[in-house]
Amino acid sequence: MNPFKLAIKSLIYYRKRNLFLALGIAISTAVLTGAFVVGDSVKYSLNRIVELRLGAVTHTMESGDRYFTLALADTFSRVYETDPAPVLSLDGIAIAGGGKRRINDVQVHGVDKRFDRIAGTDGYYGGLTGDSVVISRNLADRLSIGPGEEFLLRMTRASLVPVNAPFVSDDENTISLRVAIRDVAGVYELGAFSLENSQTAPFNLFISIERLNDLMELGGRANLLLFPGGVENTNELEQQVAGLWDVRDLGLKLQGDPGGKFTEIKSERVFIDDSIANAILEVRPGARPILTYFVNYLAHSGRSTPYSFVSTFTDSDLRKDEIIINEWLADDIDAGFGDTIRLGYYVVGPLRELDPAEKKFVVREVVPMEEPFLDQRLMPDIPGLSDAGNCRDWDTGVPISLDSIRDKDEDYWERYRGTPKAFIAVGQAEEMWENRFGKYTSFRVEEGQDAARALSESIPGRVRPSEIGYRFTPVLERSSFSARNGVDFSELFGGLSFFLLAGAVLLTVLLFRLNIGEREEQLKTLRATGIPARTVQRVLLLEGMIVAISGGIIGIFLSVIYNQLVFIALNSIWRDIVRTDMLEVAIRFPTLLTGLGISLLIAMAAIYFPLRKQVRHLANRACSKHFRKSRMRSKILFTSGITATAIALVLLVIQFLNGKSVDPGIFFVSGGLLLVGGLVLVYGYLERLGSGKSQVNDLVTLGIKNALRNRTRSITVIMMFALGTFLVISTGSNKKDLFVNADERSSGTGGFLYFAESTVPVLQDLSDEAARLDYGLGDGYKVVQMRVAEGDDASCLNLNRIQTPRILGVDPRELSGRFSFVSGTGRDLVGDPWELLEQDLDKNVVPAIADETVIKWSLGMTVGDTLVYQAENGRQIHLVLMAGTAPSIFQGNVLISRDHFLRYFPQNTGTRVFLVDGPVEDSTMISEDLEAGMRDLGWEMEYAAARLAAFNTVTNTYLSIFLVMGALGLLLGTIGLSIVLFRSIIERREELAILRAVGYGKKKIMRMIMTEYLLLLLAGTITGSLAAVIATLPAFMSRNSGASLEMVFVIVLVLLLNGVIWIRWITGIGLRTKVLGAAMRNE
Amino acid sequence: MLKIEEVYKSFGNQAGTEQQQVLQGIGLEVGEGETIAILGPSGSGKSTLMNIIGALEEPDRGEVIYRGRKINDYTEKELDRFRNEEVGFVFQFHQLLPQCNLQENVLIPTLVSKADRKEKRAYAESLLKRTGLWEHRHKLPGQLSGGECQRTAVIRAMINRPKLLLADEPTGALDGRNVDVLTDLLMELNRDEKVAIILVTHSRELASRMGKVYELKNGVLHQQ
Repeated sequence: MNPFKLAIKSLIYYRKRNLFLALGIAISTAVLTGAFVVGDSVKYSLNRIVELRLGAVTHTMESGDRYFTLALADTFSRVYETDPAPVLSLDGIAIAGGGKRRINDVQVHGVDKRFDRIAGTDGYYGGLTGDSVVISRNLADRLSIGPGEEFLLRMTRASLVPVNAPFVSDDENTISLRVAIRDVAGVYELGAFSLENSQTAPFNLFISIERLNDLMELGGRANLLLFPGGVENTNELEQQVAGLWDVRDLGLKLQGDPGGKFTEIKSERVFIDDSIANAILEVRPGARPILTYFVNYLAHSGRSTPYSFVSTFTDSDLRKDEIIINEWLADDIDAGFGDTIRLGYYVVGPLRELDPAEKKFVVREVVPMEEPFLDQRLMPDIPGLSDAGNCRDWDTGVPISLDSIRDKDEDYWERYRGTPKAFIAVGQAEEMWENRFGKYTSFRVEEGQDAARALSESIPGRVRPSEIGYRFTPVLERSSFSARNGVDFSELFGGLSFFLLAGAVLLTVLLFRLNIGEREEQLKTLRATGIPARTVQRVLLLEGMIVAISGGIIGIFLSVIYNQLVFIALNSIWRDIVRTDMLEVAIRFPTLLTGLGISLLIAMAAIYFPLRKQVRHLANRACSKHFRKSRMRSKILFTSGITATAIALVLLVIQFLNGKSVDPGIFFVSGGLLLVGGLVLVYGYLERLGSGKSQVNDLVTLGIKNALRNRTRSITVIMMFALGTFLVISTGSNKKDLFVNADERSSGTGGFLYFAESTVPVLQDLSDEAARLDYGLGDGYKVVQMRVAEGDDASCLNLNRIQTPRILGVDPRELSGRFSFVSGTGRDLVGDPWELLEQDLDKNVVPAIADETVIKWSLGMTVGDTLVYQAENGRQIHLVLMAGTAPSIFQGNVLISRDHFLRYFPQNTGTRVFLVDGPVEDSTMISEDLEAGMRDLGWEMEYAAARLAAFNTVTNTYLSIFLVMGALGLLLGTIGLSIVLFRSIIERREELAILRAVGYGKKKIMRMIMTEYLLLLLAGTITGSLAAVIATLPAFMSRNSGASLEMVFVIVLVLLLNGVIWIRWITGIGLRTKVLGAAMRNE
Repeated sequence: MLKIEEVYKSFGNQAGTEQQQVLQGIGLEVGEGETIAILGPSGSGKSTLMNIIGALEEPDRGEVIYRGRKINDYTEKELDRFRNEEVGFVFQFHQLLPQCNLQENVLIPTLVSKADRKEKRAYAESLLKRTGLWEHRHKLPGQLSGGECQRTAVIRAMINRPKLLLADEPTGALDGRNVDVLTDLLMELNRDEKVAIILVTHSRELASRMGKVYELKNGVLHQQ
């Protein structure tokens, strides 16, 4: 016989008890390791999704609403060892089933054979011709169509001219096409292609880039270049592009004067970007900047000439208030040298608001209708205007009163086209007409014919692509980072399963204590035979280790099953938190080992500490000290319990005195402290009762007496129930009522009725009557429009770690008094926090506001932290998070003021996010009105309350998981209670037999036992529920939650009922056993 | 061999407000091979006295001196060795480990003994044969009668050849025939192994077979 053999003997002999213990350990191992495996699987899936959505892409060059030539890609592959794939990527709307099925956010990709290398396919995309397309599986599913079928595709018009530039018509900014599906691309054909850091696959459509170019009349352009490796870093890539691109990629047109006197530089975008203008002036300091503008009228002494071009091209040294007019104009308005003429024009606002302005000029000179003043090339190339056959065909971005156009104006147009009728100083023109697209419409370099070629070669190298809005992204690296650092499901499920884990550990402790408690006499015998306490401990520890390892191994297998169950739930009832069906299970051996290792450590701790206590107790020869210790422990427990409770109460009082702002965190800490304090006080009370005199008067006092016999066991049961009740009630209380108070301005909807997004940007101000008329919109509601700078979705719907969320540019005044704020410095939250957005901070520093959940969870930041973006001019801008809103419909976005937005994203095209405010009773009318009017723009509208509810659904789903785990934990608690109860009856069989012998009926004994255990149940449930109510008091005070005292009452009632049923059942079984009869005979 | 001097022991009630004096200045001397019986009613402190002698409990006052050295001065290790090698304990209930068979139970005290295991096994065999338990050596305690178990407990107490055997109501749970068998065994061991025996019992008949008989009354020992 040796200690090992003894341990094995004990293990076998007590196999049933050890099996229960092993199961307790198996449950904790399964829960813990399962959480790790879930985390691994989600991480693996996110990484896998990165591979499946990027294909071979490592880096990208995006040019936004600019279009580079396909030749750039060819040149690149010739010069460098990489073969980038050009893509013309546009937004589209897919309509099938005769308009019944519509997808508004389709990504249309014009691709060629080079995309096959990205996708790892052979001729799949290269073979696309004409109107045949390949669509992604999800799009096919949503449209319920397949290969060979056709549907209608409406796309945003890609134009070399920014549609939002002054005087550019925004008519026909979509193009429709009937396309035929050649194939449906699965993930292995890169059907899920996306550059967005999101696990949700976009709706993709692939078409021949050639066909798309034809449709858009772009003449061989693209706006996205995909690099399949071969790139060192983005800086180097940008330099390489700058070394290869040509003037067409910059949107410039160079044309020599037929007379050979000068070379003219114009922009396809009407206005020349400042950085390009600077580059031209760097290359040719003598280049003459020209600004030619379309004015509404030129008037003098009651006579007026409508719609004319005025330019700055003149050799004269004009003062700011001087003007040169041509003879035709002088005749028309009867003006001459020294006369003052009025010049009326529009200042075009960000939403094409037309602000009429007028300026007076003194005529310095009247010039003849000959060169250099008779020069129609000074007119910028504005589609719809410069190419119009006559004035009545003008299609401009400003309203034209055709009635004011006279025959002589038509004649002038016919003879001289847009030849400027007047000339002013360039400085004055800049003051009046400089806009976010630039301040010049052309340059003239007075050099010979060869200058064009020389300029073509020298200008591009002087412009950094990022200065004009090109973005270079190490997309693979960034995506991998996002996936790696995404939502940690190990932590999440570890946290969510905390109570289940705690329950399993407590059950382990309880079972082990029961096991060694029952063997106390044996241990005493071993001690009496001189076996040292350490040897006794070692034998039991060895036995426990074997049980723990066996339980751990069972737990590992269970963890795999647990993981499968969690994934089934994540792909079904809990899908709201993952939003993808691409989750795959990944089981890594090191993870299993880690889970097993940690679980074993926990199990060993759960075994070791009770064991050490027991053995120490055995080794202690001074038994009388036990009572003194008990009294002392009771005092310590009371002091600790009262301290914790007092701190909790002080925190609560401070919180109430603090006034309006409610910090849920403080309440939760208070509740937590109350729970701990309450449990410690109960323990202290048990100790005090246990060490004091008490008289048995009735079954209740007898029950209490019995509970005191094993106080640690009793407090463990109380703890399990208290924790379970606390978690179930606090979780239930935090569940959001998805639609309550959604119409209030302080709610997460801001009181808005609808939240909408459009595929095609809305360029006009929808509060403008003319614009509403244009779209056929009625009155009675207001639309708040927001600009969008593309970024990733940082809402809780995205599992990836997001660094640059989508930016919304909004007029803060339109949000004034709406939504609620939960974070920000105290000073910041006084008054209207939206005003913070209008602050002017340092250069390139922009104040921003986001949803607190975005700040905290998606970005991992706090208020005061900074997000870094690339502005349109290539410079970095820093968005400082000034305040955080309570959960709102803005989740996923960062908001800045419209003014700051336009400063850093000046050429951004229109608005794409909308909030609709109107009377609830008119909601149907408003919805129908907008749906009908904005339909062609890919208008996607939902109730603001429904959008908020969708986000809250995620929170609620997490809470549901927590609730499920809490309930499972309570189940473990109940199992623990049942085991304790059953063992207790067995242990006390002689005593119970005696009671029977002295005339106690079975019912009375049952009542006595039930009283004892109901007391434990009550103590746990009441402590837990009181603490939970305090912890979630803000939820009880808020009307925006499902918390109510009725709910608490129902939960407590259910828990008690559940407990009573189990106690009754187990007591019945215990008292039915033959053992009791045998014990009775013995006694 | 063993001397008990002025041993006092009291227990507090649960509230710790009252102290009940159980032993009040006990004095006793035990020589080599001597047999002593201690009689006394329940709750008179007999078991407490046995526990103090066996170093399982500490006296409030007074000393237990074994071979000239105070037990209170023993280190924990020495106490373990004392309990393992110098003293053998027999309880009212046999307290055999239910998971071990008879032979294993008998050898439990040798778990930590440095003595020759073979010799111990041979000694266990001889004792088991002598008590008629050898054929039951592979049986578990649950498969044996109370008397057989108690005899096994006596063998377990003797396995390390202690000089002192402490028996706390060893026949308390046995029927008449088994009482005789066990008493005979104890006397045989005393005779053959020269082991001193202190036996606590209610039974005057059993006590009468011991060399000296004491009665514990009101915390004081009175020789009969």
